[in-house]
Amino acid sequence: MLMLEVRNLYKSYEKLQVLKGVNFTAQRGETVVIMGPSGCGKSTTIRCINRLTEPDKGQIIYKEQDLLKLEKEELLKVRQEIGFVFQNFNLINRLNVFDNIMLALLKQDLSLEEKRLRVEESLRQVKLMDFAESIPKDLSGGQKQRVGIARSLALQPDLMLLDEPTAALDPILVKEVLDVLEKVTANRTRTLLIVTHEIAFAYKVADRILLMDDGKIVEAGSPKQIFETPNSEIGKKYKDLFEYE
Amino acid sequence: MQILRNRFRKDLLVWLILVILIGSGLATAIGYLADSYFGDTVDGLLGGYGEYDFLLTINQELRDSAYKEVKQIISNRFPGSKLKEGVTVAGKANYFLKLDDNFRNRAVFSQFEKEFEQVVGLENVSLITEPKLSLRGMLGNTNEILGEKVSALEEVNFVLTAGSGLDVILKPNANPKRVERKIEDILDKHKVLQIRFPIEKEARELTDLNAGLRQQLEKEFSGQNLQSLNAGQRENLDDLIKTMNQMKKFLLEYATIVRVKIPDDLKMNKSLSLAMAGGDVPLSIGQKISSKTILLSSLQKEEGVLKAIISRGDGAQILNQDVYLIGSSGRVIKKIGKSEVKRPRYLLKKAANETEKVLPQLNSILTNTEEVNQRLLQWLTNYEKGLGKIQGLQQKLTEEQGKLNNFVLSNQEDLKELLEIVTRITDITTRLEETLSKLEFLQQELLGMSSNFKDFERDLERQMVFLTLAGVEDKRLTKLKDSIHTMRQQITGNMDSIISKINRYNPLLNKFRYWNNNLEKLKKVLQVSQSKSIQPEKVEELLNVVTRDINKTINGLDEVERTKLKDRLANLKDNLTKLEGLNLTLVSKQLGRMQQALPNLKDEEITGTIKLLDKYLAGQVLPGEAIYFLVNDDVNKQKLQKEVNNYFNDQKIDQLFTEAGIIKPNIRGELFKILGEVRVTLTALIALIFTALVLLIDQSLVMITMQRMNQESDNRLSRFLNSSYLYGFLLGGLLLSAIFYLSQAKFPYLSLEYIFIIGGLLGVLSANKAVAINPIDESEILAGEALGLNYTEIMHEIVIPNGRPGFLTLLNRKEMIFR
Ligand SMILES: Nc1ncnc2c1ncn2[C@@H]1O[C@H](COP(=O)(O)OP(=O)(O)OP(=O)(O)O)[C@@H](O)[C@H]1O
Ligand SMILES: [Mg+2]
Repeated sequence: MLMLEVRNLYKSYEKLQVLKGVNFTAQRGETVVIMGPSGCGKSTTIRCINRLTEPDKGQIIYKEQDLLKLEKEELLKVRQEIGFVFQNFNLINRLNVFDNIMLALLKQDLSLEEKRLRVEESLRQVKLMDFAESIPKDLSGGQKQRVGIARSLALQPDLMLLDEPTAALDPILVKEVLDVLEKVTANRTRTLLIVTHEIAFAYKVADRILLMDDGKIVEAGSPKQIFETPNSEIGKKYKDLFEYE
Repeated sequence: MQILRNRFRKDLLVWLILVILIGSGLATAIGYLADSYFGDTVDGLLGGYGEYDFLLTINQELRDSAYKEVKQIISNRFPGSKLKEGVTVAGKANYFLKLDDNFRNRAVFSQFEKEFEQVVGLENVSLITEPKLSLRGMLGNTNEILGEKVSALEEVNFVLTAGSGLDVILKPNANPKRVERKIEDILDKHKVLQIRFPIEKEARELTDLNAGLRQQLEKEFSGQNLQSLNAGQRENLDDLIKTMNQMKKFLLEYATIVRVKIPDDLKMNKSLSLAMAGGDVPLSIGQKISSKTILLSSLQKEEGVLKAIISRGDGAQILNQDVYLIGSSGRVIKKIGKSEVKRPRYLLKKAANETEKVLPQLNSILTNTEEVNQRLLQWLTNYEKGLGKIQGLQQKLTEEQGKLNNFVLSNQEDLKELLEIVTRITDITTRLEETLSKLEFLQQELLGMSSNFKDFERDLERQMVFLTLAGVEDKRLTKLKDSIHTMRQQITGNMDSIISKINRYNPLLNKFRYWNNNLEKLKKVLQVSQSKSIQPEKVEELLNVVTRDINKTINGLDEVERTKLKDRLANLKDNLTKLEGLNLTLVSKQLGRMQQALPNLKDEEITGTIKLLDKYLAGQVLPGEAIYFLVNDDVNKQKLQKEVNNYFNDQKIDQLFTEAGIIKPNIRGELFKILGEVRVTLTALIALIFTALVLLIDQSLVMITMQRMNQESDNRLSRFLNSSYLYGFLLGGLLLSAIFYLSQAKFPYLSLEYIFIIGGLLGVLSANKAVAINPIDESEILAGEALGLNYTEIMHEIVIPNGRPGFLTLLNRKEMIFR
């Protein structure tokens, strides 16, 4: 079942044309990884999906409705179903780990108890049960991002958008985050759209890899296909990189 | 305004109301505090506005008695009035007086100061009643004429004339500004025409001119439109000019004056000047003058004699009397002639130097006079003694005369008897003659003394005159001079009459001498006759001569008014005692002071000062030397001026129109107004600061989120409508004007629209500085958005809690779910 379809997405900042007609789909339960050179428009694309960035034109078909046509209130509702993980974690610094996740559930139609259970559940998923009372500044980068993932998971989203979740972390911490994400993707219950530069990770978790260059998807295919028999220039570069690793 | 479509507008509204209330409350409170603080201070000094009618200033040293008296007068004359003690400053105690309403009328106010005239220690009574307006600078009786019109104004209670002005007491609830405008209208409708004359005009002459002119003008213009004002109201400037004139006169009296006859053909001009040799440097023709040369400045020329004062150097340095003509090159052209130099100051100095001699002079006069008096009395006694004896002998002589007449010197016995008689007579007459000669001598002394006295008095008088000129006016000295004068008159009067009486002895004395001579001769003949041979013819002849005038002579001696002379002498003695009783130490002190009081100026300095005075006096007119008319605005001014000019023909006069009066700023009123302004301004400042603070601290948060949201939009109009600047402007304007309105704050000259704009500008400033003041974490907001939180929730949970503490954070506490 089609979870998300992006059609002809355009976006420009002032005079800079960033997205030049992005097209792709993601099926329910599918893990889609977007890769591409820096500045090619990956973040812009992923932010356009829940309209954190407002696209100029195109369509974002999510569960058969065009998100770009939604009123503000409806959009806010949809955002509560879509988890978003930021490169820089974007935690609320004044709140502790528990409340950071509770904040995500603010608008959920749940009892306090249910919310608490959800928070605990998602903390367990990211292996941070003991850090509920900690405040963000006392956490390591990896732990922060795991809180970010937990916050997203607490929404029990059908679609999760992850924008370079490990890019801000030093290599040792990357592993713990990727481990968590691997587990999240493992049961294929939700659709994940992950922007990452981690080739090995992509190869391992992706059902499909989208290669982006200069505001367009230039190639799409299974990890095997992309890393072994790429068609695009970019794909060839990734192949070299993959082989090197 | 997208933001207002949000639920967050409720928060904004609550915030707005809270902030407006707190802001205006705060501003009002601080304004009130300042007002009561300053107000209390000023009330202590000046009394509250309109609270009191008069301020009585009492010398602190006499406070108790004066206060008692004042209180007495008030309770007697103005029962029900309130007297309150104010502050004591610089030795003056101040009391505020509130008159009972019954006494708040013109009759009481105009006579008020008089009531306290007798109170010793009460230094000043000033009118401080409010509301009041004061008019000043009203010439002549303008104040009386216009006062009638002013007192007819509705809100005016009554008017008081005050010097050359008018105090207008308003009714308690009058609006001073409004009355002021009405009075200004009255003033505007009038002008004062001043007609001024050159300096030579005399005041008496002016009175006639004034009367004539008035008649002439009243014929031409109706009396209503043109009224003559009593001229001669002195103003300060006039006093000053008068003083300057006095000073000039004084200095001229005192300056060295050089008079020199100038040849008729010599025409003085700018390039020529006059000089005299000064110091020890003589002048010679063709030579340049030296720095010591005395330069002259001519005053006037009369009948060929030039009168000049010294413009360089000093009268004491004049070498000789020659006056020279000097060319522009500074070379001596020729000698003009010998001058007559009068140096009153020099003389005065000399006189003063002789002051020390005056006192001994007085002393010696006194002792001399005393002595002479004594001697006169002594003489008189001797004279009377002699006279008594002579009278006794006269009897015998007359008896003998019969014998002598038919005397035939028959025997030695007779001869002896006659000789005896003659000898005794001659003894007496010789002594009498001696006495009479002494009288002559005493008379000489008296004459000398009398003139000494006159000299002394004249010296004293001259010094007094100079002292007066020098501005030294000493009552005691004047008294001394007066008493010396009367004394001198009495003494000299006595002496004169004594002298004249003595004079009448002179012919007698001659006769007496002649008689005495003959007696001596007779005596000799008798002596010869006794020893040798009797010369009966000779004896008889001499005897005849001696006895012929005996009665006449002796009676003549007796006729002299000895009692009167005695009285005079006693009188003189009396006067002298009195004169001795004068305090001579005091005299010497005063004379010493005279010497010190002598001005110590050089002639060049005097002349410089005179010229400076002349500069100031140039074109000025002495008081009284002007005629004033109060002119109604209806009068054609040009016509009037023409009329005046016609009247004076070609005489030099100045005409000008001046204001009929000016409204004096009411210092006290102004002060209270300023205090009021201080309050509203302070309130305004607080309002302003408060608004700026809440805008910067609280609203910057809102503005940042607005700016953030606005980044997305491409639509210019929506960008404008949602701009934080517009929002800031409107909110700031609303906030500030609301607080101003509620707290009645005011900035001078700024109406509420301007306040709105100022508030708006503060808002714009806050929008501009928002990020700097309240940096917000973009990533947290983004997280909130990604989690599907709406604007209000993001504000409540993320933005506001992260902001600086303010009213918004305060209000947010109850909205916040995650604390
Ligand atoms: N808010 C913005 N305003 C202006 N330009 C922007 C903005 N966001 C991104 N861009 C520009 O758009 C282009 C695409 O940016 P984007 O972040 O989508 O690239 P990316 O593929 O995610 O790169 P990276 O791998 O470095 O994250 C870049 O050139 C970037 O500078
Ligand atoms: Mg990116």
